Amino acid sequence: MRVLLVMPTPFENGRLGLENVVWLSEPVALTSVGSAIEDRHEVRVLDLRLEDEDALVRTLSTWKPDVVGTTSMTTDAYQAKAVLRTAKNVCPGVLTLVGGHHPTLCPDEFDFDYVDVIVQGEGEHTLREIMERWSRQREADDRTFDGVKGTRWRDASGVRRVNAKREQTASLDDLPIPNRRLIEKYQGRYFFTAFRPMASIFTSRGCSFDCNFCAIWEFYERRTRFLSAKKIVDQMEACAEPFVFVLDDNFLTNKRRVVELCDEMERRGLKKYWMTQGRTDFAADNPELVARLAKNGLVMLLSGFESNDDDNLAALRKKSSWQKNLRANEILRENGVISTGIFMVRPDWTKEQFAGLYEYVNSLDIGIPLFTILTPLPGTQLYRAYKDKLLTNDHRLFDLLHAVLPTRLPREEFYAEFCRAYDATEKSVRNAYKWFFKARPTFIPKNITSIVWFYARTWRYQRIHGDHRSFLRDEEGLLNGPGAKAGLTWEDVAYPKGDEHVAARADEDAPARAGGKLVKLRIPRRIWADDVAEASAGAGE
Amino acid sequence: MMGDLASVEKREAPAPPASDTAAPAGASAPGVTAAARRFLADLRVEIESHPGVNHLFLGRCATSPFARQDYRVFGENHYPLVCVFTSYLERLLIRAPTSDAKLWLAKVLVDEYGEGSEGEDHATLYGHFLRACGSSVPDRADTVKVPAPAFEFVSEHRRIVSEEPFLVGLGAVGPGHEWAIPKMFDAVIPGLRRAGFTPEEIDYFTLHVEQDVDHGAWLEEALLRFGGTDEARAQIRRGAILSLEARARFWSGVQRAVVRWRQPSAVRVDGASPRTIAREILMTAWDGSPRLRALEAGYDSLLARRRPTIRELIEQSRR
Ligand code: B12
Ligand code: SF4
Ligand SMILES: [Fe+2]
Repeated sequence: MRVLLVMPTPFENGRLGLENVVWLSEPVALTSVGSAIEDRHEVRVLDLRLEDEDALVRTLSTWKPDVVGTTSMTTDAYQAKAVLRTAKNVCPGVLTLVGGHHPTLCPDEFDFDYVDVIVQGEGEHTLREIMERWSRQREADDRTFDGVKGTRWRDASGVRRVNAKREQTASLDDLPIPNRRLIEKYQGRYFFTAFRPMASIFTSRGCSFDCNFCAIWEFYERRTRFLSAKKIVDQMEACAEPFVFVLDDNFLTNKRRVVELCDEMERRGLKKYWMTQGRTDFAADNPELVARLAKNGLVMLLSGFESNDDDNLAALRKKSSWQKNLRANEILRENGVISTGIFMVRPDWTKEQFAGLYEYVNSLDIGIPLFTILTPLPGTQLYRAYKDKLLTNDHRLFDLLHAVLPTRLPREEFYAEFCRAYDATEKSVRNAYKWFFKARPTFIPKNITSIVWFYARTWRYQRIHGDHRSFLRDEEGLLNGPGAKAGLTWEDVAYPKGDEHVAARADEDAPARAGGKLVKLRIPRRIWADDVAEASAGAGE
Repeated sequence: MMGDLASVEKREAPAPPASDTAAPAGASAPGVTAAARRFLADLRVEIESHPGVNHLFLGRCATSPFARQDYRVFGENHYPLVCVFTSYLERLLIRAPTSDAKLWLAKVLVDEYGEGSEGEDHATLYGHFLRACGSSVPDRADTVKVPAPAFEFVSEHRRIVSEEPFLVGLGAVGPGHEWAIPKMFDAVIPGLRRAGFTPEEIDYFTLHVEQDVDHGAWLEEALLRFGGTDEARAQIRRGAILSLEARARFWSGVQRAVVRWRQPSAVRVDGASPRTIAREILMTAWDGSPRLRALEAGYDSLLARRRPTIRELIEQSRR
């Protein structure tokens, strides 16, 4: 059968998003699930971010797929739906599927007649089983998928049936390696800032922390699994690109595995530059390991610094400290690893707090500071706490660049403060380049064209991002959430203040090593998978 | 796209012409009719799966919570099409090769002028919608210039109905509109409802879905008669496709306008072909130079000045 896997654009074409300038990642979700069925089916991946507007319809009408699948984060949800709706319109007999973070965490939002199956959780085995069933059932147009774990399917009367949860594959080594030939057509076009051409792989799934704004640990039900060192290096070696982005949300988490990986890289003499995401506390506590990773090609580490304030970090359940941030950054720059630091400004911030953050960033010499706004993403603990206080339900505004909760400053002033972030932290970037140049003198000259390319694009991005009125226009007419309807102000929202530890100390499951600083928000700790188990008990399989 | 042969209420189909110079020769021969039927079935599939009809922007209307403000931009871009649709039919009426054909087009026109919609022509209906969006464009038709995407669409259709063979014109305003509109509006209507418009405010859209579905049957009947020869069929198809290609460009333009009112200096979309670094730098240098930007703005406003106002567009099409 012909299976078309579509990476949607995150917004309407032409609207600004991270993928335009900062980070355009390979659609690894699609190559992963595509590779699981490739042996028996003809699979194509269409990345709409790198196609003309009519590519989807032209492919549908000429290639006539039997199955169309798409993926969705929160911001992409409308686009993913538009893809499947279009697929049904152009190829009425097609089977439509959606998977990914948002459908897993908020499946009800995809309950439309043009979505046949909602896939929750890890997709490889689920898609395999769906395809086995559909191969047998298609002739009779039987869209019953009872018993296929990890799915929500529509029965003939249009009722959405909920199957039991899909258990995670015990070892990532058992999953097929994503076949990057599926996206051969787009090779050379993916990037992270100036690192390009870039390949993307993953080497672990899940995270064992439980930050309350993050969806990862919830998606993977608080479990972490790793790919073996050999498989990782195999994959890196197989990439033709000079840069590889390791997509793990928390690469730096298991010391033993990091050591094993370094051993393997050294044994095989891997010559690749690579980038990944990891926590600052690990880097701060393991300087010798960071040095080894850097020698083995690590050139950039993206970390959630989040804040310059321990109370704020604690309120987010980050379980780190600003001193660790500081120390990690020193270690990284000494080893020639560019630090990309994500900072989270809060809607209840004053001008002084903005100024304090920018000053802090400048003191760190961070190479790529990225600024976001605290956003309760659907499916996270924060969302459960604040869903009634949201000013908007428009998922496009959940891109971490818009304040979906009431701000303390008038919104115009809030955005004006937020928008000056990049100008205000130029010093940090300049100094970071100096450090980097010292540690890796040949890197910049060797990659000068990509650096120029990146700055050329970034400058254009800045024209939008630097204009705070553009943010106000983005939300015009769209502030229609429950908080907006109730006319809430910032004072009605009990933002995490950082003094919850007083109450949390009494809380019996406050972590013992919290030392009075690490606190837990008093919010329910149910996750999506608990609900599925319940639902499936009711609906039966 | 006013009416688009659409405003005719469900009633008996006007009899299509029995014969036509190029078209219906031998239409009565059973073999040809079967070919014509097959042609029509294929054409309908081709139209209904065309990128112009299934433009992702329309899908986005169905699935994204666009606000009234967005629909205002949508509507202001769409309105000129609605205002001049009848002129295509009028043009074809003059050119129709037989009196049967004339009769058929005239009947459609009568409905377009408002007989099928309680005396309100479709431009007036659209005006209600625009006002509900907060737009005063219908009241300022004398001064508001036709937006570029609409002007391009209208110009292309004018060209089709006046310079191309009669059947190409018929393909464009017949199946190219009639079969396309229900599917397109099917996507827009849920979005309009989500944005909070009342049923009366979006009458224009719902009317066209209901009516156009009814009209399918009699249009098909007429086309069967016209599409008797390979040449005639090719002409009808060509007209429909030309119209839909223009439609696809139109929706891309509307989408761009909807994005740009919120983000005036929105990013330049990458698209299918990668840009060279030189181009990337040139673009940035261009955007970064106040002089070059002023030049670009001057050029844009020159183009805009050369476009007619909505009133002028309507008057031109009466000529
Ligand atoms: C790369 C990346 C990006 C890239 C591009 C995304 C892409 N997919 O190419 C960019 C930088 C643009 C990006 C942007 C954002 N991202 Co992001 N991003 C990631 C990251 C690090 C990797 C994604 C990936 O490829 N994973 C590897 C694949 C294999 O995993 P997967 O996607 O989960 O796919 C599996 C299953 O979900 C399922 N599946 C998925 N799709 C499908 C489809 C079908 C048909 C089937 C059957 C199964 C299936 O099967 C797959 C294999 O098991 C993830 C974190 C992560 N590790 O997943 C965050 C993550 C997805 N992003 C996240 C966020 C918050 C963002 C945004 C900042 C904000 C937002 N609200 O979405 C946006 C900003 C939007 C914008 N455009 O401006 C959150 C998502 C939260 C949510 N509720 O949606 C994540 C989980 C990070 C986190 N720590 O919370 N992101
Ligand atoms: S933010 Fe990072 S450390 Fe925290 S739970 Fe998410 S992935 Fe883990
Ligand atoms: Fe009309």
